[in-house]
Amino acid sequence: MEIRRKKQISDLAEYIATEDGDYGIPVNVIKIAEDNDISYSFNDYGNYFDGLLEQEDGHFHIYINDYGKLLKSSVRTRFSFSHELGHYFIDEHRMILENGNSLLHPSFYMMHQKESVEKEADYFASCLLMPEKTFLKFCQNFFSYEIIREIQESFQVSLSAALFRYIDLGAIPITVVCVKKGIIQYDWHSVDFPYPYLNKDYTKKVPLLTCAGDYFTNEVVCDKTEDVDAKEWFRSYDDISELTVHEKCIYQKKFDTTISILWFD
Amino acid sequence: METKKLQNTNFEAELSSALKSAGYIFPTTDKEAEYFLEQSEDIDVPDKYKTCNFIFDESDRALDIIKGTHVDNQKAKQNWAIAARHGRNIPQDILDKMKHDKDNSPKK
Repeated sequence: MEIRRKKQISDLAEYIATEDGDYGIPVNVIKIAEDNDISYSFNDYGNYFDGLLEQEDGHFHIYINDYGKLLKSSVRTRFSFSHELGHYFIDEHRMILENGNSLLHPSFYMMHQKESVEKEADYFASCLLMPEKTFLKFCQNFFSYEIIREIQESFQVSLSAALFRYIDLGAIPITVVCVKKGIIQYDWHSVDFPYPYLNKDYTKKVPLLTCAGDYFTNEVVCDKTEDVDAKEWFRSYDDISELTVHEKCIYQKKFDTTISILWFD
Repeated sequence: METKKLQNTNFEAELSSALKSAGYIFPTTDKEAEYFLEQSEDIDVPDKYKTCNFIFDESDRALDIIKGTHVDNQKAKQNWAIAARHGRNIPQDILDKMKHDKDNSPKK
């Protein structure tokens, strides 16, 4: 998404969350819907969608799939609810729906356009749940995993949502690496992170002498933040041989997945 | 590093705001509009537009223009559309459940 578009969406979400009404922190997304005459329901809708915004005869209704177990206050339902609010508040999305055209069916949009619409709604959700001005109060001149935990608790968002927002707004540049079954799945970094390219070849195997590598090789769990040779994660840089990088590894054993947060002093 | 990041983030927005304030593209905020008006000369409103009587004067060309921009909203009042997060084709039993939930939702 281009920077100007992100700014537009961020400003819109910031206005709705903080100036259009008193929605507090964590942001009361249900009240935002009520104040805008959007009705809603939570129920188990199988595996057919996480959230859905319906427009019928000019009236909007949000359906949230609780899969028969999720609470209204869970981070997943809150994010889905905010995502659907994004489709309502972003003019271009709402106008498509008001004209009777759905965003659901792939034949209506080319795939990349559909993805961009979903990305915009995701970005809106992130900005609505974590308004920039309030979020920046959590960003210190140093980084620690505790800051992310505080963000999660205060804004009632998931770990990944908190990390994405921190990558976008945080004062200290970080890289986040998601590894599943020993294979690097994704990595994201702040725009000013000094070493943006990870040490990975075509196999995408996680480097061995890292917290994540140690877990998948030796099943060793590091509870604390560890100092790792930076060349293990970022081998392709010439000036990195003497550096260490902080790594906080979060283990999601149920999914055989780790999330590593990397940052320098 | 922080300064560089801020510069990158704000440059396009600042440029856009400057162009709007100078009237090169349409202002979209009160501040931009105020600045633009400060820079602009006052233009007298033509006599015939100083009251709203021209709206009812059928011989006035302006009325035709207004008629021409009218959009019939009936289409929007009789339609149905959805946007789904991680959505797939929804079977009839789930659609029925959704309709029931909507009909019984707190607000409609």
